[in-house]
Amino acid sequence: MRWLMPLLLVGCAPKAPPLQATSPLPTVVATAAASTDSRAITAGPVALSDALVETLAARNLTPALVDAAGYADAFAGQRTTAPRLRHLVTQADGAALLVLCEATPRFDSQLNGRFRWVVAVTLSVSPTQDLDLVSTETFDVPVFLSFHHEREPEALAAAAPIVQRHLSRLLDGVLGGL
Amino acid sequence: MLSLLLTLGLGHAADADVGGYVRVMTRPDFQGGDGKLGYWNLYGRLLNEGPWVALQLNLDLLVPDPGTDAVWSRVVAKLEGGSVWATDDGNGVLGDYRLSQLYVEAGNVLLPDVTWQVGTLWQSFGDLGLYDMRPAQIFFDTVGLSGRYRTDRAELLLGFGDSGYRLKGAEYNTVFTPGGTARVRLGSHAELGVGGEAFFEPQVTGNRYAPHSTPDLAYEDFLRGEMVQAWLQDHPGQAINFPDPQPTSAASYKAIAYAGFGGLGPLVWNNLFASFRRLHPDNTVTETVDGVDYTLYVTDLTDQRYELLVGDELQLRLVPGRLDVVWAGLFGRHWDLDNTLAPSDHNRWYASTVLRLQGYVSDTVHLLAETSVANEVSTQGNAYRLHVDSIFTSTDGVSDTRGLEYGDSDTRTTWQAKAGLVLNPLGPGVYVRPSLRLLYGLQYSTQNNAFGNSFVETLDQYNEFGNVERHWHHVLALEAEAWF
Repeated sequence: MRWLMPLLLVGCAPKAPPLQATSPLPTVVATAAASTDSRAITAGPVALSDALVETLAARNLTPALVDAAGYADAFAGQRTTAPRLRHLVTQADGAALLVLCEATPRFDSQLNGRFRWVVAVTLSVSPTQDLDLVSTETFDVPVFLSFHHEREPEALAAAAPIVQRHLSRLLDGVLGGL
Repeated sequence: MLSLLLTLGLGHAADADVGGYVRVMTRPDFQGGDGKLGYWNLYGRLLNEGPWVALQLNLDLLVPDPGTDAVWSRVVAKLEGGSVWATDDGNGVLGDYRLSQLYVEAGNVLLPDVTWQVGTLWQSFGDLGLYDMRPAQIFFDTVGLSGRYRTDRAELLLGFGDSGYRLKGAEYNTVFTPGGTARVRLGSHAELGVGGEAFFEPQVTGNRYAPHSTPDLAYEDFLRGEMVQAWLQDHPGQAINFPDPQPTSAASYKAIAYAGFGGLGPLVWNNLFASFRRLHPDNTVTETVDGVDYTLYVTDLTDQRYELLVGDELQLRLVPGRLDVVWAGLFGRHWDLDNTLAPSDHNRWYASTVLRLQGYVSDTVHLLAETSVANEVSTQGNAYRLHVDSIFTSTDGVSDTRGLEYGDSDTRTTWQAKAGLVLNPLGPGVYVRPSLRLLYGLQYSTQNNAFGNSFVETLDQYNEFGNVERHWHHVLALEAEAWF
């Protein structure tokens, strides 16, 4: 097994720390999951919100998840990002930043033994004081589930690592400009 | 085709998305094999499969509007094949690829929550990942129309179409194929599904590609390719009176079932699949006697072939984030009630089990170990050569040059072990991809040289290359696999 050690050491090598806020910044986080089968908006699964919170905390931000009950009904009638951000500001409670992850998972097909879903994501980070400075990325994440019974929540959870990466990139831009 | 569809999509501002699957590897084999550890994926798909590439284009013609009953539509085209430059003897030639799926889906047309599909109709209840097999699938051969109604708890699919080109190729004749599946979710921990399809090929007098049977043919002569010779011996000088084929019809079917349960403690999920099918009969064989080609119609000699296949796969998260286990089993039983004389793939049973452990040194560095045991038994005489000189022996060590058996045993037993290092950029999980793998594989088989090879098997005294007795086989593999 000695021949494995160099590879294992490389795998465990420390990573460069991410860009951080100079002081802890209260940040409001909301996830809004839509479905092709329903007009209802729900909170994303815990795995997705945990991934967002973890990314924010690593950058010296103080994330606080907004209870979906506070925005689900409003978001069901607001299909675009801008009014949703304005709605979230009313619940920001003194936070400096807003993070909104809007995601719509859609079953694609069975592909070589996996169930392929595509999660359409719009990810936004904005200072609460000026929503005109919002930074937004829109992207699709293909995910591959092993079982038929796994549906929208599992697809969103599987997309979390990619969403994390996009959030990191957005935060680099936002924190660099603060 | 994909380029055409992409161009079409861009021209109409539709959404296009390309997905797919790739598997590419090199497996140096210093024992003279072709790079696969054993013959087939009954021993686990790992190290027993070659390269594969699939590209699937999804083109939204009308994008679904979430939560509404607005009409939507899309085109799906899948191109796939098993050859990649420098990895196999095809060297990536496009002749090894095919457009395996092409269909148009439309939703909320005529009926709400119903998805219509026209084109290829393939459907599966799921996959045995360790075997890369899908026992519970229907419409693999069929082009037609299906309608799928889905709710949170249940799904119903009905369809019909034609399987003639897939089953009969250039000897096309319509094979009408109706079928369907039903699946229901029981609570949050279980699912059940059943389904089936039937194939009916009608009698068409005058169509040489429709099912026919040439009368007065003996099965043993069919096996030996001596039907015409035998008839002419029985009817000397009457070649002109060789019997004409008689038109008939042909039918076959497949029934599938599925049960899944999980989400209980360390049990992630267990999938149990089963299928039972009657194979569609062959139509013709050709024999040449005295320079004359005779086309013989063999529908009634090949219409009693049956296959049962049962497979189970269990996924366990033994130590979360540290160790996952997947355990699978497969049983197959094939009958050919027409053939009571000779061993064949249609008269056998096989059973195997595969166990894979994947441990996570870190999120991206994993260790993999897998082992499998398999037994394959011919139910109609010997089918396997256990030794280098098996060609001289048949049952009880007696040479029989007119015998219909092959080799000196009716059983092949195979054991495999594989282990190595896996790099998973997306983190832990037995089925998380992409995976970059460095693996060593070891096989023991009771059959001599039980892997793809180019060995000279003859024991002729003029064989310049010699023969070798070998039951252990080693392979080193460097491979990558990804879905996208």
